[in-house]
Formats: sequence, C-alpha cells, structure tokens
Amino acid sequence: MRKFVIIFCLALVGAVAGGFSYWYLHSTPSQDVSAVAPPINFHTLDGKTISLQNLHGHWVLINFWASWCAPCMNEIPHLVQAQSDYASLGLKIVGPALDEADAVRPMLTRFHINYPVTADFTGGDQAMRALGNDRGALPFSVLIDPDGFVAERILGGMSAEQLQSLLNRHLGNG
Amino acid sequence: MSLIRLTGAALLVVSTAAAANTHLFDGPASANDLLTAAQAFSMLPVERHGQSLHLSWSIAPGYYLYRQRIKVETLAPSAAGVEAIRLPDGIAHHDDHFGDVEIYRNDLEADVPLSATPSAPLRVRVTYQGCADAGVCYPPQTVVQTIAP
Repeated sequence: MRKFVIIFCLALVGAVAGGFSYWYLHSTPSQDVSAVAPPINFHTLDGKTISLQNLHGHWVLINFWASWCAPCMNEIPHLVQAQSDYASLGLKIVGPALDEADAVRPMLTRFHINYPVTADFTGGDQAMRALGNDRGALPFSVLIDPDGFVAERILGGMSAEQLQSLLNRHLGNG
Repeated sequence: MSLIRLTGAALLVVSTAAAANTHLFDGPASANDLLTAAQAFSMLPVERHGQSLHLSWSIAPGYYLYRQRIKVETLAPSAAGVEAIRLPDGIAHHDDHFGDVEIYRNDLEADVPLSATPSAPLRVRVTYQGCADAGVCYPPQTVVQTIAP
C-alpha cells in the first residue's frame, strides 16, 4: 500500500509538472512587456484618424491582418465576437490591414467587422515593426493597457479560447 | 523499494509529464522560432538561360509559397518579349478561405521564356508570397532585378 502511495504521489508530481510546463510554454508565444506603445496614428477606411494616444483609458487590441493571410481570416470572427463581449470592459479593437483598400472592403461585410479597419501596406508594416514585430509576419496582435503600455504581443492567429483567455487575464471576464 | 520499481516510478513521472505536453505546439507561433521572409523564401538572382529567364527559390522547411501568387512583370523595355512564367505543378493545398490552391515547398525552379533576344538590359519585377506551417503568413515579397542582354 505504501509503495502504491509513493508511486501515486510521483505520478501526481509528474502531472503537475507537465501541466505547469504546458501552461508556461503555451503562454510563451505572447510576450509580456512593459514598454510604452509608440505614438501611432491609423487612418481608417471611412476617413477617420485613430491615434493611440487618444485611446488612453481604454484597453486597445491592435490586430494586424491582410486578406491574403488565411490565419488572419480565421481569427477575425473571434475578434468580432470579442469586440462585442468586451466593449463594456473598455476594449477597443483596431484592425490595420497590410493590404489594398479594395481587397479589405469586402471583408468588412463578409465578417461583419465591428471595429475600425485601415488599409495601408506601408504604414501598417511600419506600425507593426514599431510595436515589436521584427519578423514581419501576420497575424500580429498587440494589447495595450489603459495607461498606454504594451501588455502583450501575440504573433500568430489566436483561437477563440486563446483570445478569450488573453482578454480575461487582463480585462476580466467579458 | 527495489531498483526496478524505482525506475518504473520514475518512468511514470516522465511519461505523465510528457502526456500533459502533447499539445505544446497548438498555440500561436513563437517569434523566436520564425524566420524572416527573406530567410524563409530565399530567392536566387534571376539568370539568363538562352531564350529564357531562370528563377529559383530555396524554401525553408516548414514554409511554403503559393503558386498563384508568383508573378513576373517586365518594367523595361516595354516590348521585351517576356512571356508568362512557366511554373511546375505544385502540391495540392486546401484552404478554408482560398479554396483549392497549389503550394511549393523546398526548392522551386521556374522559367520565363523570351520571345525575342533582348538587345537592352531587361528590368523585371518578381513578386511572391508564402506562409509558415506555424500559422503565420508573410506579405508579398518583391524583387526588382536588371538582367544584362
């Protein structure tokens, strides 16, 4: 009986260690950072200018995407849902597309995008790199806290669960 | 406890920990593991091979180029006799958003026939675009090159 207890305890330790390493490694793609977000302006498709500095006081999720990027398209429905679910907690999503306006406009209707979107290849690329994406790959998301500090950077598409986990971690439950 | 039982217990610990890590790579891509587009899709300089231009790419493992997103355009001279690029058959790839497409992995070689022998330097623009299996895509890459007659 004693041997069984020892083996059980070792297995339990193994499971906890495995679970912890799973959680730790799963969370490494998003980098916790504490840098002030650079002052960036986005010019939306409907002619408005969004300044990151003017969004202080809100949680801002900037999602860089493009119509030629399949992982980006997979992620958009989750972002649309998140904008609905977390708006009351102060979330504002901005979607700069590294793309042509003519390619982006049909996506607004197709995905019922409920947050401002821009279409500027050069400007989007510069903003993305200024926010820390030195690989230049998409999708790339940056969560900025109400004080203007970068809370997390995420390179690659997030599932609905991963996005929800990110937002719950910082904003609370939507 | 005998050595055999201790070993068995240790193996159980390791296997349990390993089982918990089965889905380690399901999440978004890690920036540290990703190549830049130039590293992932290394394009060699365009070469003149008789009556054609020869293009070649070395594509890193885990990365791919879309067949339909490879383009060659003539910038100068305007009537250079550059025909459409001849690409080999690619690997069938289904994408939820783009449907059935073809992709290339590893090495890619293609030719662009010339209908006339150029008498002046030929300036061409090559565009290509690809993604990584890790779940990210790279913006279209553009290379402009001048080829001597």
